[in-house]
Amino acid sequence: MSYIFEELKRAFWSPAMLIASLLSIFMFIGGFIEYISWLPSGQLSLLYLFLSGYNSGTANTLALAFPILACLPFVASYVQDENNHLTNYISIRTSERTYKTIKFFITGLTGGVAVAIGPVVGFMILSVLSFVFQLPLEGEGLETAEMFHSMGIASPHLMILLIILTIFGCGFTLASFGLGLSVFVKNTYLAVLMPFVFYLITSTIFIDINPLLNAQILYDINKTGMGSWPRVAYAAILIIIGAVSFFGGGRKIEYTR
Amino acid sequence: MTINRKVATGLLSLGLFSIGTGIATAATYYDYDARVPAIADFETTNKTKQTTGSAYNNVTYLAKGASLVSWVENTSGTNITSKVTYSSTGKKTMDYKAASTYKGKSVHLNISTPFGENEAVSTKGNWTPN
Repeated sequence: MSYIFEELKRAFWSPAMLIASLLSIFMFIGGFIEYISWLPSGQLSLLYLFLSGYNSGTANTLALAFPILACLPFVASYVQDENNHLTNYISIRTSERTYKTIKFFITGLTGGVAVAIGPVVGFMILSVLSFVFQLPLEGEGLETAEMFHSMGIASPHLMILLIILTIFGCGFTLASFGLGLSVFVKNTYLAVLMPFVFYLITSTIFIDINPLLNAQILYDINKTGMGSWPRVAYAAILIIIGAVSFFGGGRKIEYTR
Repeated sequence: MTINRKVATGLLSLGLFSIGTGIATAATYYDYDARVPAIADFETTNKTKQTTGSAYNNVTYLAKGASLVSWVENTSGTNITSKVTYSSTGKKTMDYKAASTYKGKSVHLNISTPFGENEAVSTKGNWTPN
């Protein structure tokens, strides 16, 4: 049990996690910062500003960088353990199966938190600004909001909660997928970059075959106006690929207890 | 009889006034047909803003599954309306930050791809600075 806490501490209390979290926060805020001077006019809504950091406007850099942010904190940890021969020593304390199971879920967790922390902090900042400047919760003409309305969801706060959960799921998925790929690439930098390369390929080549193959659908809840099933199916396939690669691939750790 | 004539004259005047007002305030739309690059923006030529109303972008064609962002800039390239992001055709409204400031001034429509849209996108439509 203590091994889980040690691994959690190692994953969350690390420079890589700090950098990923700060990048996520700055990127999200960067999406709506251009509207700061608009706030006193009260023309823009809380939801408009939130979506500007998420999937709207021209400064929502999080929508491009999310695969890197998801993988930055812990995806390369297995490769590092292998390179440092730590896996040999860890096997003294726990079984290979337990080690890999803990590694798999904590990696997914760090990926989800790293990407979602920006929108969470951004929402808190916007809530304060909204209170100070008496901004409306929702304005007109927001496509993502209209998509929620068509699903019978009218509360902007519920919309934001669902978006944050989607972002967390997206980060979890890509980190799990990246961990699976890291078993084969065996290089810490490539391990972090591989899911981003996969995302670029899907959003430039696969998208021409079918828009549903674009990995952007994991992140953008409004992408191509689709329901949640294609997104869930896409995420499940990537997590399964990651799990099969991670648990089935790589060097067999010798159990030396 | 006199009352009927007055009513008829009044209604006629009101009708003519309404038509006249309608003609005076009808916004002029300008066509565009663009392939918006993944990185750079597409800008229309400058047009004069006539009123203090919002700008409109009437999108008649957008490549399937693609998203775009449109807004209005002044001649020095400053964003003067909110940005509207869309993935479907239809009329998009862009509200000016201070519409009266730009009445009689030259402005242009700007169209760009949002982050996450990694390919050039074809689109057609017409717009008015209003």
